Amino acid sequence: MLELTDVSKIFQTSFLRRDRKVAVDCVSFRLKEGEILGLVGESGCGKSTLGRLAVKLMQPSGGHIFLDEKDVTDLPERQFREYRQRIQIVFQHPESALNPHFTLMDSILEAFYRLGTPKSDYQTMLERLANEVNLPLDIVDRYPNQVSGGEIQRAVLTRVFAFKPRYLVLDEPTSMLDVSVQAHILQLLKKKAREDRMGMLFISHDLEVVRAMCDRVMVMKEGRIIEEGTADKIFTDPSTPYLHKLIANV
Amino acid sequence: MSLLKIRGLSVTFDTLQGPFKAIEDIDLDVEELDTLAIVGESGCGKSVLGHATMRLLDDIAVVRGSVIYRGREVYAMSRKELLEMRGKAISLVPQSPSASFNPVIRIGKQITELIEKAGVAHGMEAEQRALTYLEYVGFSDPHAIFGSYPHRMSGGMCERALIAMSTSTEPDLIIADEPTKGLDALSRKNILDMLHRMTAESSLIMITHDLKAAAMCKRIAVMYSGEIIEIGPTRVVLEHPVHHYTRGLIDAQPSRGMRPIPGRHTICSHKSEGCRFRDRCDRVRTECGRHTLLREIEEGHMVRCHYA
Amino acid sequence: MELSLPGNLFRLLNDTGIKSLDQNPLRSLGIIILTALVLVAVFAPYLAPHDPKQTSIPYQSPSSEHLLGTNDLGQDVFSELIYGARVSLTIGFLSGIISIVIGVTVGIFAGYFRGWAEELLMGTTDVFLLIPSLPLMIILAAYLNPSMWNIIVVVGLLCWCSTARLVHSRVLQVREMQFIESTRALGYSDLYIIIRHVLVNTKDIIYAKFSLAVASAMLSEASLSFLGLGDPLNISWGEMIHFAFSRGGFANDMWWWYLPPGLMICVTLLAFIMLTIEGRKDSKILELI
Repeated sequence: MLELTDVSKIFQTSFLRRDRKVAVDCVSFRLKEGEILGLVGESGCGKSTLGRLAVKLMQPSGGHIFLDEKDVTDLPERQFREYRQRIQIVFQHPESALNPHFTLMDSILEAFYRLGTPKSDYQTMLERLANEVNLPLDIVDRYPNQVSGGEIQRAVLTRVFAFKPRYLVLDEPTSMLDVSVQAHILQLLKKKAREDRMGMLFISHDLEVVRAMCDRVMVMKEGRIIEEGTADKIFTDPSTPYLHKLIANV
Repeated sequence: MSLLKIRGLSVTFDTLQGPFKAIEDIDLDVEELDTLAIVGESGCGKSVLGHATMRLLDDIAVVRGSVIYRGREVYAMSRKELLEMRGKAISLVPQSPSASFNPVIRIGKQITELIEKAGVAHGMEAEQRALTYLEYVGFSDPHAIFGSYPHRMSGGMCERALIAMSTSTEPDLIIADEPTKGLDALSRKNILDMLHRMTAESSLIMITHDLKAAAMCKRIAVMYSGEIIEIGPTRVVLEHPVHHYTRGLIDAQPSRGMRPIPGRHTICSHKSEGCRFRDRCDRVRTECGRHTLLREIEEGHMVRCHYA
Repeated sequence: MELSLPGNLFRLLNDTGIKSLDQNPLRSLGIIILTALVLVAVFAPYLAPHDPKQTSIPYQSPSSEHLLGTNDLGQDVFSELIYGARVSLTIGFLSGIISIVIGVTVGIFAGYFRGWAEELLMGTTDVFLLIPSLPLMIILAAYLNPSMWNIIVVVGLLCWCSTARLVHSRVLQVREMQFIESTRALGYSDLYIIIRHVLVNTKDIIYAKFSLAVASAMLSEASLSFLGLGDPLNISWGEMIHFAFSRGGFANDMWWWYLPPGLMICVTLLAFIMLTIEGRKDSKILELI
């Protein structure tokens, strides 16, 4: 279980000028294995920041993060590194998701090096993973600007799945993709959550996608979670006016 | 007389690796106050079509065919006529809103500049007009937006300002390239409402991959691999699609079951014979290898398929 | 549906310019000239018809024996020119390397780590940028012993600031890209990310800045030498002009003495600048399709 309790993040705009901006304000949630938890909200509501806090790409200003019952909030980066294989993140923009000077293969290999996979296993491992995410093997020696956004996201998933993470934060993974590519990738993620019991925090502003994907949904506004419940309940019986407005606009 | 008439438009890019055909043989008519959505996925050539209509690709591509705007051939216009037409008669709302403004010039100045260039108004009057249009696109405090720099605004705000800019000259035709891409639900709704209001006074070509957004237009053209494969009234195309690619697109939407289309879209720069969708189509037969034209199957509904 | 480009279509977009030389004649020309110059410098003893230190009849006009005549001590100007390439290029390259190493290190650390490190490093850079470097170089060169190594160090230590600024701003862009964060999420250290990811994405400006740094170092050296602050034991092109000037080459209109070193400096600088010229790219098409 991934658990966040009263997590906050306050940004100071500069080292010398002390302007403060509260991006995430006392947020708590639990993510169970095999569950897809949606996080919706307008742009700028702090949902991406929350995603980064959950994988500790940022240090929270307050609150605690528990990863499988262990408090990892104050673990220094060096010690947290061993936990990184359990929780991974996928970002929104395919155009900057991979180093433009690396081929897809190079980027995927980074995960293999980290795992310490013996060199002789690379090929079988790559084939297995690529097969899982439908990444055509004939394009792995291309550079990111030579393949489509969907193919980049597949390569990113290949690299992330190499770790066999228990939890995955998906920060708008398909908002820049075409519908049919989006359908491919979402189906694949859904299958992964069900079959491998992977817990997913699915961040999106597209309510339809969230409705099709998630078991539970949290609604975020101005850094706070204002509503939480099962997907059916949220969409059929929204309790806050804000959510009403959001749903009416779909 | 139709407002815009495109006949046999082809665009070939001369890349370092030889010619690459982005769109081929496009025929399209847009009437006065018409709204047309061009739908398709990345790489189908829809943006290229938008740019070619404005004759913006002259220096980087070979363009064949004709684009006739109000009886005048765009590809025969002099430089002066062309500059007059762009912005004033046809406006393009480009993709990636935040990159489309000059980051170091205030929004208001950029809009005013365009209005003055188009000769619609001058000086204070032009500024007033810019403010009016900023208000029109839904900014509650147009003065604040007028004086702010593009980098301080979110994607949705930039898109709205961009539409204000493109419409401030009261063009006959607005070409909006992916106006809702990457925006959240509320901003998207805003933009679509606004574009809808604009269509009371001008025609609109909306280039998008979002079928939901396309539904606000009167007609839809679906593009695949550089060709229009289906075109018709929105209701007909969305509810009774004929081409299997259109069906696939509709079924791929999250609300319609999220069924992916099998196979992958390869740009076929050489394979011009036959249906381009045949490798992925489940009804493929030998006839599909033969070339096929857009055929009218009912009033205003045309499909490029042997089985239509 | 996914878009896949034909395998070969955009292959050329990713190379640094070496593979697409046929598309970039100016860069090829730069490389050819520089290679030639380096070969001349390396094989100077075999190419020079005379020992540049050996004296004979002074102030001779060009002849088949002395292609560019002789100077005030009767030394062969052509041979001196060939040996001068060694000195000038060595000074240029070594100071270029020093300034690039300092500039890139400062720029990358300031840009990547932000916070107080950035304020401190970029503050220092700004102070260095404010110093008028040529007068300072003159003062330093005048106080230190007139040796080649001192000139290399002085020029190298004063030329890194603009590189630091440029690298810094690029790194600020690169660090915001998501692959940096996702590599961090894989559990890699900052040092690994800097070396493997940040550096490769900065390399184009590092290459360009390096050739410009070498060029400007050669120019600074020539200025210092012309003012008589060069190393008298290692005659560079700048010093040849200096001697031609101070020992009556200009006054007596002996063009074969002062013109060739000047031309060599120009040609070398031009070659370095041509190296940095970018080739044609198809990026606009990528945006559209």
